[in-house]
Amino acid sequence: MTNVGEEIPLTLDATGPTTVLIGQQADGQLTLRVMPEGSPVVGAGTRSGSALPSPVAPPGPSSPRPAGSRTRVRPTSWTPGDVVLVAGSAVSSAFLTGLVLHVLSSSPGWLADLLTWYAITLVMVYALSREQGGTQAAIDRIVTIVISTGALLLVVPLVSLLGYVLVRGLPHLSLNFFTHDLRGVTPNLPPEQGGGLHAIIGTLEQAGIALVLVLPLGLLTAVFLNETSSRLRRPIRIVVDAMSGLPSIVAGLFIYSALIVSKPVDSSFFNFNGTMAAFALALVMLPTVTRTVEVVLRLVPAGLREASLALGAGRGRTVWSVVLPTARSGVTTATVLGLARIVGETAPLLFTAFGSLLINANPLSGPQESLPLYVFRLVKSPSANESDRGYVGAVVLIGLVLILFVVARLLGRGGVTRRRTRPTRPTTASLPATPSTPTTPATPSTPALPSLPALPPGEEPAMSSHPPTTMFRPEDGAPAAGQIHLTGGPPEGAASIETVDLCAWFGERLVLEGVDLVMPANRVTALIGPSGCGKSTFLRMLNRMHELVPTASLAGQVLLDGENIYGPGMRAQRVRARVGMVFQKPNPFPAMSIRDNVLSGLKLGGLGCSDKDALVEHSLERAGLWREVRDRLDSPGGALSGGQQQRLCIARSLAVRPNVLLMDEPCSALDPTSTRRIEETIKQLSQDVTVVIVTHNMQQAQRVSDFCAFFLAAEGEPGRVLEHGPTTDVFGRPVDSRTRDYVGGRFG
Amino acid sequence: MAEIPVERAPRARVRPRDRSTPSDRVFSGLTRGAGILVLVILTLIAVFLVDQAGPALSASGWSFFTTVDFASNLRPPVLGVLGLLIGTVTVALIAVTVAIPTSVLTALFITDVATGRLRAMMMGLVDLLAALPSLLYGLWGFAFLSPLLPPLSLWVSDHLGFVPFLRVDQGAPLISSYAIAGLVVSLMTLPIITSIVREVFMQVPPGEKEAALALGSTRWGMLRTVVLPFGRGGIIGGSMLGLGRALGETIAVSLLLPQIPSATVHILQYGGSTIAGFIANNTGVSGLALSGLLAAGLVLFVFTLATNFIASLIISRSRSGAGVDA
Repeated sequence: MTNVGEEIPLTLDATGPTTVLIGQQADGQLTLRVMPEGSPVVGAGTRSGSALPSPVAPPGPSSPRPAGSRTRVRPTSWTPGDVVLVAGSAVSSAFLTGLVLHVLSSSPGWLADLLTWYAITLVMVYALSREQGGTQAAIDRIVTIVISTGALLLVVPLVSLLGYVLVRGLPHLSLNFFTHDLRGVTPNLPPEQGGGLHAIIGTLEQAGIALVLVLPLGLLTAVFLNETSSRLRRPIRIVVDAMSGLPSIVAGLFIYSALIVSKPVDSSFFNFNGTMAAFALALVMLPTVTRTVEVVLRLVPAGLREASLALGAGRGRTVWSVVLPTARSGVTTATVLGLARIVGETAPLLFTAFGSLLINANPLSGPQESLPLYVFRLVKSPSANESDRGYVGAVVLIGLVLILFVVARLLGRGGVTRRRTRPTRPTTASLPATPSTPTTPATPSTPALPSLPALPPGEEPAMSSHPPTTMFRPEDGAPAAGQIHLTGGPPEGAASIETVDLCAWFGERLVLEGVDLVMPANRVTALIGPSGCGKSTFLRMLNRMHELVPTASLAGQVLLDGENIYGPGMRAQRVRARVGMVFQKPNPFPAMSIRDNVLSGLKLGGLGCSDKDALVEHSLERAGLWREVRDRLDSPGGALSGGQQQRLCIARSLAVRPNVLLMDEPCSALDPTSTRRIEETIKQLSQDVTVVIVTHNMQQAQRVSDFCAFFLAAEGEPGRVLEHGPTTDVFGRPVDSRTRDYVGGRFG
Repeated sequence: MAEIPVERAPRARVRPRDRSTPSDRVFSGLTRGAGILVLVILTLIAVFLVDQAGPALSASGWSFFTTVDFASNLRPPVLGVLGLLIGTVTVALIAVTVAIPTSVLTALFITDVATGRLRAMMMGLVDLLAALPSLLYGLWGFAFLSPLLPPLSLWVSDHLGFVPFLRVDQGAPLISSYAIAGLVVSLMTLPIITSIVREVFMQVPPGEKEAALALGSTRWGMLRTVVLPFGRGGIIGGSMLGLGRALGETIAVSLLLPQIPSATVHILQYGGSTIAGFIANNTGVSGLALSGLLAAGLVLFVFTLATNFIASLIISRSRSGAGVDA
């Protein structure tokens, strides 16, 4: 027995560096363990069976292994062995093919060699793979090889085509081509003599005129097809679809016959010239551009249009400021590809531009050359010089098409259209690396808390457990609301909203019946109830969004400060500017920066503002987002996290100073931290606006609302308000048993 | 607090009407105007084509559709579309037959074999193939491919000559044949078919593919049981769209075929014509011959239209094509 602290004489066999562990057992007994370097510390205690509290940190998160010591593996189906197997089979089958086709018999040609080789290779790979991994694996491998060969079959002709034309044309390409026409050029002159300037001029002019004709018409038609609800859409779509199958030669023949031969007006204009060619090209391009643009417009999420309309914008304004900017890159790509298409179009030009050997820069009169015509005519010539000249033209044509193609790809890559179908996740690069200010404790941005567990409903952290955030504390120099003057906006202050016997139909189906509800000014009213009971429909009737559904109709009144918003002479746009809306899914405008998103309501609703910067700051401040974004107001709104996007949408709605703010499950797509942030925002907002919120979260309704209405739709019946009143009453002393069951969590 | 249902007077159900603003009126006026203009232009074309084709059709009567020859220089002119039509359909069928397997394999390669950069590259190449002018294909087929193929054609006709359309007449040249034209046109239909089939394959629900793999299926097993059945409608529809494109192909065919209408189809030997190619080789005609060409163009248009229409129908009706724009 020794005492703690006593000197222990140690005699160690010093064969290497050792570790001495000294510990004290529960009864005060000291233990001592000597371990040679490298012995596993983990097992030491357990092996001895003693309850030694080890001074060495246990393995776990606190002692991470260096990342480099791990072997990182990406599981693949192809190992180096497989590659060797296939390569070996290919080589040996090449020998076998040579033996059979060239030594034992005579080969009918290189193609036979190739096919035989390919077949033997497949058989060998199959046999060997079957030995290794069974029949299924062998078939799978064969199929993979065949599929890859198929893809190769597509690449080979493409490469061969480009290579052939370049090899034929490139050696003879000289600067002359871009500076001369074919004046005085005879077949005896070498291909470097003469050029295609006249053809280049013609091509650019004809394609340019066609583009000018097609672009506005195609764009407007696509907008008409996608953004309006006219009855004419159907016949127009059918005709456009049909015409996209019009062979280009028939388009050329049509122009030739209708304008050049028939001459509707006796004028020298109706003759072979560049404009006629442009007409024919426009006929070819119009259906294609219309269809592709329509497809691109369809990809713009409907939520963006709703958001714009809810801000008080008209249809045209929405298309111009929201839909087209969002679809811009897609529209440009479609147009450039359409242009690439007609630049190489030859057939219709034979009947319209006719072709010429000399420069004719006037597209309005006289035959005009174009690159495809130039190539088409010259390559058929029996003279080698002439046909080489044609190949030079083909090289330039390829260059032109390639440039357009690359431009289209680059534009398409920069676009947001394709990706917009899903809400954008924030990327690490787009988030600020450091909090915005070191002096004030910045509120952490949402993605910084990934470890926060998602609590089940009912166990969300109580508000008080969180430290009060600083987001509503006015900063030095923070603008006061009174200093910013809006012109053309809604009247100041909150408004009460009251419905009288409100009913809603979709088609012939009555979905909501007889709702009489008062939502007092400067109060938060929560609408609760199970899904499908008409809450959202009710909410959308409060700012006339309901009528955007083509089959929707209604009865009853909605009184905004005593005035029926469905009364005669009321404009939906004006109503929506007074009654703002925040949607379930955050829908900031992707083509706009954060700043422009906040100001979008002004632009869309045609409002003026005395101090836009102050309005941006004030609105973001009220939505609790200012601190997180003030350093990057010019970055796109879509780069924010989901919670930030939703607060941006709130700021956007607040910027036009609405009297009422409608919120349709604003937190259902968000995590608890963002939800808490938005709930605090809602509470603060009721100082200035009346808030009506739809929520499925009972706790949320209890936390944020002053009044509460319970909607319920019985089986096969329209939704009705079952009970309403102060939130404390509805939750504390429900009258109806169904309300009691619902708020108590017993159904729904 | 509970709501007591009370009897109310019958409700006046309304569809709310909005007072439109000037800017709204401008917007709807502009777009509607554009739409109507497009409708009018395109309808006018159809009406005009029918109207102008009238003289030829009335001069020839029904024999227009049963006459093989088209010779407007004879007195009286012989106008017939049958020979041209047979050639057109032959070229298109060869093209699509060649293109379908390659397209399907390429689409499978893009969706299920290639990953990352290789996939992006293949998609770019398919798009590039679609962007190249058909003139260049014709050029390549005319100058590069044509001389390579006669030995193969000879071998095929020697060994498979018992099949009627593969037979070659004694001493007939083997260049400028339907087979070569079809091969070249197939390259132009490849990108259309490939992109439609690819889009359809991409719509296969990942859950179904993973379910197959999770059952221990190999990739081929998964493709065979899930992807290919799902994409069948898209493959058929895409091929029909490719057929529509092949029918209207003009400039390559006019370079590759002699454009002499005939009713016999020997795809390996010299000879043949298509409607579009024939029209392109007869620029500058007028009078009844022009009317005849327009009538032939109309026939071609009707054929293309029918093909495209059926294709769209197949694609949109199939389970896989619901979201595909074809």
